[in-house]
Amino acid sequence: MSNRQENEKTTTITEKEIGQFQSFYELPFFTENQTRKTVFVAMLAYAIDKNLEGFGPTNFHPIKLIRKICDLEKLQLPTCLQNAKEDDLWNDDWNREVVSFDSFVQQRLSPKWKTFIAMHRLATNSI
Amino acid sequence: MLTPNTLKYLRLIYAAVQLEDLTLVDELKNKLKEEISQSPNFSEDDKLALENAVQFIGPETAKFTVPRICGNKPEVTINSEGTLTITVEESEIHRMVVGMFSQEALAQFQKFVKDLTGTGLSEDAQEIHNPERGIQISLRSPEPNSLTNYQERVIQLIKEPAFQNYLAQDNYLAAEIARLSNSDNPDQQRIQELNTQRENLLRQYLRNLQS
Repeated sequence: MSNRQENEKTTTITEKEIGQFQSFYELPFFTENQTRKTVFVAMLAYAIDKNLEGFGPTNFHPIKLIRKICDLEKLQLPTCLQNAKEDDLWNDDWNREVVSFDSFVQQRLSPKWKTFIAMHRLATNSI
Repeated sequence: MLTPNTLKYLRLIYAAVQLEDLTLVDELKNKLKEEISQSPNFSEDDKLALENAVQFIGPETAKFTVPRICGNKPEVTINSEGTLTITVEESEIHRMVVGMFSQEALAQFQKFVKDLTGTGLSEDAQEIHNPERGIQISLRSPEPNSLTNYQERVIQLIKEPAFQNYLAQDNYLAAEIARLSNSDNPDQQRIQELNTQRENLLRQYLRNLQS
């Protein structure tokens, strides 16, 4: 298989996967504050990409997801979350720092999800 | 006419337009012209044409950046009766964007069809024919996993970590400004602070491009 064919293969996201990704954004956590849709982007893709059990749209919990990603990827927890308990409500003051973390997680995605999230970020606020 | 890097610049210019910073718009246009003139990939004639095209980038051009890479392999034919047929293949990127944002991206194609034929393309239609205007437009489904070299280059540029980090931060700031502005009692001071942060972020990114 040529490099080009290999690249092409890795850029394809199925409609089912797009549907899974979208279904996160239908949760009240995101509909009650639209800004959060720009904070949790790559992290949601990560949950689908790595097939994380217990972290899908039906049992989404922002702090638990961030902690899980930190454990798996050996990443440091964002400073703002270091004293947060798992059942604490989300504090929107954390958003600015967590955006940077999300951007970091993007680099840990598989090639096809990296492309998808790159397109998603480009399309947000421009169509 | 678009170079792969133009898409990135259109997004940056769009942010500058939203910030109403026309000086920054000019700086970004000049930077794009500089990149074109230094590129080994274009002939001198192409460079001149591209640099002239950059002059015409304005607020409206900077909108709707993504759909610009949504049409693939256009074919234009005319038959003996004078009917013009334009066939555009929906690209893999377009399919993803439509998937992410429902039909919003497709609306651009719908506008294009309406301008040419005087009739809108229904959601499921793949083809429209207006005998009075002598024009037919078809939307062809993409071949599985098909990306043109141009699209591959665009994707590589878009995926640059520094650009993606800029987009992540800028999208957050833009969304927060929009959320606060639409609230019942907008906090104007906070909105102003966020606008300043957004402008600083763009200027910092531009400085990094230049260094």
